[in-house]
Amino acid sequence: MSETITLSLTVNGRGHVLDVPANTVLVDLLRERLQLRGTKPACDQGACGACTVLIDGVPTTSCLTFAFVVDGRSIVTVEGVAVDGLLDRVQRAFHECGVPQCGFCTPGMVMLGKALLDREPQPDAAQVERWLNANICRCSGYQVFRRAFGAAGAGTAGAGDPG
Amino acid sequence: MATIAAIAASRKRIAPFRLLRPTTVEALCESKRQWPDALLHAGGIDLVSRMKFGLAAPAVIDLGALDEIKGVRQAGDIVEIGAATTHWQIEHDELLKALLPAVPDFVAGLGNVRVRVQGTIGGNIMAGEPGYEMLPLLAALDAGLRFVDWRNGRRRNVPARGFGVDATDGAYLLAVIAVPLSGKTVTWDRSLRPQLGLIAAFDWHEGMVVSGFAALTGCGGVWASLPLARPLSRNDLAATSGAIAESWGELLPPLNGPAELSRDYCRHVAQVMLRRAITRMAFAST
Repeated sequence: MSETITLSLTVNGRGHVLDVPANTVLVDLLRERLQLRGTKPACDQGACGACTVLIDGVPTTSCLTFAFVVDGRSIVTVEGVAVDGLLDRVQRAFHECGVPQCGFCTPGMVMLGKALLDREPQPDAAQVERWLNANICRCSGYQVFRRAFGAAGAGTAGAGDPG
Repeated sequence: MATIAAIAASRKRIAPFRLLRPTTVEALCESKRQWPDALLHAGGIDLVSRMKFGLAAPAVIDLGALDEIKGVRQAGDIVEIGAATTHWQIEHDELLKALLPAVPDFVAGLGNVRVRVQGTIGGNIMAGEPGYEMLPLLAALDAGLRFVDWRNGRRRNVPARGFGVDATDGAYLLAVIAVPLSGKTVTWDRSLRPQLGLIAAFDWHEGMVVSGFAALTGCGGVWASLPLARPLSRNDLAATSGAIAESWGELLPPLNGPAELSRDYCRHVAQVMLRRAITRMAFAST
């Protein structure tokens, strides 16, 4: 049994104080302890990006992050992207561009897109390309993702549609 | 619920460990003395992955609170990069952009944004993965690696060009990477990554190339100086690029390339990449 440690963290705006084994990985903390199952442990080796969450605003691989790393930090998962039932512009763009196919990579792609657009509100094609290469879509729907990231950046996705 | 538990149980699990979180290098050394088999955790990319595949230790020492080995600072004609500085921090560091722009430019092409956010320069070096690119870059820049011997706290400097992960014998902790401000120009070729990559650095004096160095990535850290018999103008450099690349290829130690590629093929491709790099450098605007 691993040593138990106490973590204080904020997840989707809500504070938590949790006792967890030191060997807990963040994706397991989110899914199994906090029941936030939108974050997907797909490859479980950091390659695919389906488990991407934002830690203090930057996209992070939650399957390769020990939970102790997020002590005192703020996490946003895909469940926390929409606020008061209003989709984020990335989610609206995904909806309007018809992004999801099998849907498995979608949560990670939403988090990646949100991180990019929070940092670069109007990214150019090269920036989109550089960021998009972090995550894998097993349906290979990259053209649609490029279109959606572009639409979200250009502000052409409809506003306020709860989807 | 039973289904979810079954799925979870099928995933790779990490062996239990005690977590240590020192806040000074001195405390880190003390932790290591108490737990000599402890693993070091910086970004965690390689460590968590290896632990999922069975690597186990009684303790893990988290370097996250060790501010002494984070960040970038100038010390005279040296730029010091803390070993626990992330690639993301290096990529966006204003001091590096001003003094050693090749470093953040190069780092911006490492892995992907998730890797750069989490991974550290020290982790990249100490992981000892043959495809990792920081050690060859640092060798090309003639950087130094500053270690701390956790047994007695003594410092030890090792040139990047003379470093192998095995050389630390597990007794040394990488603390700082010291990059000289030597005015080198650097070029690289990642077109065949991850199988092979090339980084070349050139020293100039009064418009002539006076020395050069080229390193390969994907071969476990293999490099050699460029065999220049005399300073070369840009035109001479371009005209002799093939001969330089051929001679350099002969100077390289045995390549430890990907299993699917023969050593002769790797050497040949490396020479082609170097020839292109030299030509590119010769015709680059000053």
